[in-house]
Amino acid sequence: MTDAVIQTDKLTKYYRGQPAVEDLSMSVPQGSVFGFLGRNGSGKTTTIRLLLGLTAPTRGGSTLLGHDSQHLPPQLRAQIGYMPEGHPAYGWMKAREAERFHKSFYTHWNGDLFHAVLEHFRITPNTKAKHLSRGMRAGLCLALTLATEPKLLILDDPALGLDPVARHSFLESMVYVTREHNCTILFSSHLLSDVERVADRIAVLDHSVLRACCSVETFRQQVRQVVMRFDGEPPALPAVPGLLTSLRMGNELRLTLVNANGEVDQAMKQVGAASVETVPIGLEEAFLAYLDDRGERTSFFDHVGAKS
Amino acid sequence: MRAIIWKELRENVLWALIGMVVVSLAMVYALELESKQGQSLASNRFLMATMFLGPVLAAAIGFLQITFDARQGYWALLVHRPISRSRLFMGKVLAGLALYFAAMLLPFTASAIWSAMPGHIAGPFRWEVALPGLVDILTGVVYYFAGMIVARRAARWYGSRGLVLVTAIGCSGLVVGIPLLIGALIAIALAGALLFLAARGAFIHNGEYTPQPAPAKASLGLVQLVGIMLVGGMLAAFAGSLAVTRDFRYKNYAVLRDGRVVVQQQLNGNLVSIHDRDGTPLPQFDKPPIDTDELEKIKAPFAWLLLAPPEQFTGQYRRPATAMSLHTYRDRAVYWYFTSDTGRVEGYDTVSRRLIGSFGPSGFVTADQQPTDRFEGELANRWGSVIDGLFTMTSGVYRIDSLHRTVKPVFLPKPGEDVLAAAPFNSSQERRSKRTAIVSGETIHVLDHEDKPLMTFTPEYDAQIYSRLYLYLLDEPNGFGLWYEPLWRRDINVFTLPRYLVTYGSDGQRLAAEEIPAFVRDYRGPSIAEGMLGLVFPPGAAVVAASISTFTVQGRAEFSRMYENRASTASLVVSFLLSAVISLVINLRLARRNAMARSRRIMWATLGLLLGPSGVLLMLCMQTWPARLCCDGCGVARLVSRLNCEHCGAACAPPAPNGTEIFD
Amino acid sequence: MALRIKIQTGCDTPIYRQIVDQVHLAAATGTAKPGEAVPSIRGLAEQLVVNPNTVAKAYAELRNEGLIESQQGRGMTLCDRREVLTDSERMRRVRPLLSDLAKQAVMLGFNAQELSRMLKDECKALGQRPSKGA
Repeated sequence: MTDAVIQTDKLTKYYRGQPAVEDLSMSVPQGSVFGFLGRNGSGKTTTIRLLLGLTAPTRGGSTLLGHDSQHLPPQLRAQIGYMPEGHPAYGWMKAREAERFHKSFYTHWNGDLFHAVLEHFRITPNTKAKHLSRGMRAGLCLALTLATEPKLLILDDPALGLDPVARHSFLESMVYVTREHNCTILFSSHLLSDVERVADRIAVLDHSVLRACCSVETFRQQVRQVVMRFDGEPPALPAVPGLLTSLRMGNELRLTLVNANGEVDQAMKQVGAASVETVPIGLEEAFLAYLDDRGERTSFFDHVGAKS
Repeated sequence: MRAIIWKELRENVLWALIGMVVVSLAMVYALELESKQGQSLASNRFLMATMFLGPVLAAAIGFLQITFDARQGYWALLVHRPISRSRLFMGKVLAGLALYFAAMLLPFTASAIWSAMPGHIAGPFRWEVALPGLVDILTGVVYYFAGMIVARRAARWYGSRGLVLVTAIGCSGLVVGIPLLIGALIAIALAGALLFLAARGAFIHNGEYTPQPAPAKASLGLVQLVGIMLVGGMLAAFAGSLAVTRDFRYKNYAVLRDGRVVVQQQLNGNLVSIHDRDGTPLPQFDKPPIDTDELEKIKAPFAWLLLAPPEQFTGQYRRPATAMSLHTYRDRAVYWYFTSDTGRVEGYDTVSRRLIGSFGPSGFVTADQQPTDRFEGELANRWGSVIDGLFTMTSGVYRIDSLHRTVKPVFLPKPGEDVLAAAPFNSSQERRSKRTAIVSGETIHVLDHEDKPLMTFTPEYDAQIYSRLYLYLLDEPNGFGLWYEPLWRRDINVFTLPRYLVTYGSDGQRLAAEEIPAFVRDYRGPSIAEGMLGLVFPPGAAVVAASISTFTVQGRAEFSRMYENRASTASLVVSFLLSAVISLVINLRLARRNAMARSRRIMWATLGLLLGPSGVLLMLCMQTWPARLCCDGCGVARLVSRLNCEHCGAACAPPAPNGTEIFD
Repeated sequence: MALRIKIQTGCDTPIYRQIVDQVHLAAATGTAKPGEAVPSIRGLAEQLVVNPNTVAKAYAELRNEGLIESQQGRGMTLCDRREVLTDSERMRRVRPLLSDLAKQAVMLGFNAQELSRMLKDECKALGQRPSKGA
């Protein structure tokens, strides 16, 4: 992990007076597999579009492989593989024609790799893209992206709408591309198990603000779950810094905390719980807690029940 | 780039094909109807296909080419290719225009070839008739780029996207309005270049305005400005027309048989009063309704002689029919045309649509015979060359009887002299009306009913200005009255010039001359409609607009002559100035709100002053207006697009941490 | 018999920890013999479809614990098992598991004898000689 392949500096984008990305400063080290997480509309796709110069930032800036995102020279674009959200492909093109079309722009093209990926997704080269299933179309996009053997691979929600098998193939290919060269991958996803498998660093966007950018391990270590048992009804909780969610279940209070330190432990002791126990938490649960709305939570079905 | 061209051709060929089918149908329909009339590519019906369908097809191809690729994922798919955006754009443009031209030119060429083949058109065919259609097809290029801009430009105000189409329509207006081919080509080249630059800028910068380079911004600005002015002008004219009286009043002079000059007054096209020049109604017509038959009986018969300067009517490529001197005699089954190539009047059978024969000065020969002579010179003037079988060339006046296939010379000018006009008198009841008036050189000849010279006059007033002459036959005194009417000219305001009536006795002796004042003494004062126009076009633009097109301004003056009520000039000047100053202030405030650099503030303020409300609208629809937030440093609203507050220089506050940040 | 590693996502244990544990288990139960080759980092990453860095991290820990070693020309192999953990560390790791087991067993109505007999059988099934490590 040497220099940063992607570097953003206070990157901000407003759409009609609303921030889509706000003051995003982060860097993606070379050779890393970088998971980009966040709920729908949190600004992941906007960030990626800003990085690739597909839209201009309201303020701030970003560099890709050391070049300003807004003025990426064509030679540099050739080194960046980008798969836009939704696996777009020209419907009228046959897979073979799509290869010919895309190939014509690149000096480097690995035809064997292209056909290997097609075969993996069981796409016959004579099929038109519009007749492919969603997963196959994604495979075609992937084949077109990988065949250029990019230095930097940016995948915008590659798993969107894919069945488990296609998703698995995607992960396999992501692991594959890190084989040969020192390739950096940035991918956005909602699928936490995918992130757990392949990402070594993650960034989490929450309502257009970057809240976390760290290694997966750090993230896992920083999120903790604590179960507090009380003799009677659990009391109202004082404001705890770093509290993500709290869940009341009978005499139990289950807290998910982030960046918990001695101060927090102190605060919790004062509440007067009969027992305090730290329970292990999986990455997926940690993400859920992290991405969910902050504060005390009950199942939202409760509200439905209360009405009727 | 070849791959891009291939992709664009493949993706849009369907639209082009649909367009081609529609255009072909329209052309076939037009030719089907017009060919019977001896008309082909330059006929109005045929030009509808090129003038309307061409632009629609071009704009549609431009729009569709961009709009499909502008969808988020596809935009990325396209522009992320390692090729410069301008090459990408050029590839698109080449493919799109190739499709457009193919879709238009294939049916057009087919129509031209069909028309050129004998037996299809009941009239002569010359390749010049293809010119207006070709120019129209070329105009489509302007619409093509306009369509691209509409599809690509991100604008917060949707109307401002469509403005470029208004500009393109304005360009069409120029193309149709400018009589000279070169002028039309220049208009297309200018508008095309501007729209090309604007479309390219929008394409390269993802449709966003701020990152564009100055030339692209300036072109977009000009294009938008023209659109705003056209829309504003139309709205203002509409508002102005609501403000003025709806009654259409019109006054003109008439000469009676007894030599009196009376005034006819019309209201909304109906004759409402006839009175003498003092305002006293004629006794027999003192109350409406006026018996027009009675009136015609007391009006003097006249011959209308137009001494039009030839240069005003030459080079009108859009009317190749007149350029070719297409003149029609209706001889039941034969159409007659004068063809300047052969110098003969040719007849075409309307059934077989083939040449049956032609007239020369010495007579008629059938199509299979070789003609031996030709009418020398040119047609005396396009509108009055053929009246009641009177065929007027500069080299002589002939009487052609197409039914009996005979030609008789009526008048031959002296050597070195040209016939300018010839006309019969408009009343055929009386024997003495079967006279003919001819202007040759600087003399007016009157021939009797047997075409023998009766007498001559010499016009007394400048024929360059008074080039519309009416020769009246008067009863009292028994003789003639020569009325001098000025013809519209670019360089002189003819509406204020007086008319003259000079009377002659039956022996040609000059009896009297009378000066008759023009009805409207001063057309220069603005009407309310023009004043409203001033609200949209304050001083700078008004001057520019006026100097660009005297034609339009003069046309408007003639139009506004109909309206009697006018606003006072002073109040209009005030409204001009007021709107200019208000616009300046608004633009300055807007520029300050956007924290613009000094030079740009000055630029926008100047535009506000010169262009008035158009300048304000231009600024509003060009600029992006970033949101503003309250600054933490000084508490004043600041732009989100700047790293530092424009008021206090404080850096943007990062979003407040909520304690859940994880960074390593 | 080759080393067979499976991982699960979405559970409480990190992937690298799952790999470490499974190699430990294989070595302890004798499923994998000392000297046997361990899949390469790249190979295992592609087989499991996980980030190679994760595998590398697991292998680094295994190497630190002395469970695997790299040999010239042969990649990585399993070592003879050497105890590297202190007694107290081993105790610390096994205690929570024992306590869970005990709780569950009591809840299900087993007594201590039954539990210890079942524990012995389980160990036997894993190929563990009851005498060793006692």
